Amino acid sequence: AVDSRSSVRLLVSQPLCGGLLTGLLLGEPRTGFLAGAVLQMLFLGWTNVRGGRSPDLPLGGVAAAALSILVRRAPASEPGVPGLVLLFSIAGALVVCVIGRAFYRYWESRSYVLGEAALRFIGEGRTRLAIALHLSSLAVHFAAGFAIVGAAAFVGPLLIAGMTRVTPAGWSDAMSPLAVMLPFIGAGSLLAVNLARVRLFLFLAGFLVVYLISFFGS
Amino acid sequence: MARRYGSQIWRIFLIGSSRNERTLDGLGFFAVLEPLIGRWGASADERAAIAKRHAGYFNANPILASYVAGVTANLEERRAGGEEISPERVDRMKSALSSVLTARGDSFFENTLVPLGLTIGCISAINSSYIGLAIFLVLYNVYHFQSRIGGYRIGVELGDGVGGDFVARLFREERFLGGAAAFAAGIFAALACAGARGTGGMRLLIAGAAIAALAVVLRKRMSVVRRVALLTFGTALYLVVKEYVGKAIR
Repeated sequence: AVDSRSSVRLLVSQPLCGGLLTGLLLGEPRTGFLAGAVLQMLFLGWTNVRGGRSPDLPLGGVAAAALSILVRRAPASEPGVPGLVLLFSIAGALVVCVIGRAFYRYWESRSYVLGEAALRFIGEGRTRLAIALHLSSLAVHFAAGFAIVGAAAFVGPLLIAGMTRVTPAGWSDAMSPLAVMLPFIGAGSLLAVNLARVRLFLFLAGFLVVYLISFFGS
Repeated sequence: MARRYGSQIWRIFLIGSSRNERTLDGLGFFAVLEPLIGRWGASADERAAIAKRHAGYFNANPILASYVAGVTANLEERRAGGEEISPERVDRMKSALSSVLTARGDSFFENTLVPLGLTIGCISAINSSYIGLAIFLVLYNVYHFQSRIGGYRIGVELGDGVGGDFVARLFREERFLGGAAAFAAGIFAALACAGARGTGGMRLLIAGAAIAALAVVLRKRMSVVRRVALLTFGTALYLVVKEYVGKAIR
């Protein structure tokens, strides 16, 4: 929340990094990193356009990593269904992305009250108080992010564990290649943003070089 | 430099904290200049007037907003020193610079540098490596810190010398980095194809290509979350159907 909403923007809040940090916090950095990376791959090619309806990816990355780790520790969890767990974790993360965005839009449309109070303080010469109001928004974003991810981490694992138990056994086997299929969504989006002539040429060059090496290498 | 600009620099990083629909980053912009305002006005009323002017509407790319803050500080400093600079001229400069720097910053950071870094990060994540993540963070933050801290310093030193020509010269490597982003995107797509072929042969590879084609087609037709959700669940559904059809045939 502090990185993405305050404009500090070191980009450690991107799912790729947020997933790793969440994994480190929960004792499974690799699982967290991979869950965050899958979410990141789904959103590759998407750019955060000013004024656009951007999902709260930082919260989503943390949620994806937390869910994929915590679900295995849930009391009713079923071992050996990584594809299903990944699918449900991503679904949970997408819900968190949408809720985070909805909260931010709501806050942005209401927080002018703080701005007006700050302007009043500035007029009265109480500038320190105005700056305290400016910085207090950070606490709101932190608390909201914490509450949303906390709720997802509390309810999500139980829900996912329950869903994996009631899912037919055949589905679990079918889902095993999911992790290698999801990057195609990001690959498609990347292709879409590189359709201009020179960029398409470079895209195809990168594609052919690596694909041919992997094809003949194997 | 750190001592001279220290009290403004940490505030520059928090400029967007109180963003709202009416004044956008106005309060954040005021917070950056607040330590200097005491020097610019002789009386309390004068200081309050300057403060109110800078706490109004302000909208700029958060990274390049530091240039605007630096230029504004320069003009206000010169105005306080007795130069003939009207408050309207300061506001006009602030507004014009915000627009051009926002366009430049969004194009460079949001459309070129971040996608390039994230693609590199994801390429290495396919191989379960953290190196790409480290490259992404270093690559992005070198430009980020250079623009934030260096941008403020340049703004303070050059003042209204930071104009259209100056902005046009910023980030001249953008074209090269854009090309590198396209090349990296191709590598990512190739690794996705190689992974699918290695796991499930040509059938999975063809399915993956179809998913990528759908992602291209749907890109402008629906919001990113809907598209991602639809394609993710569509992929899962395809895998389940494929499994059942395969079993039925066997």
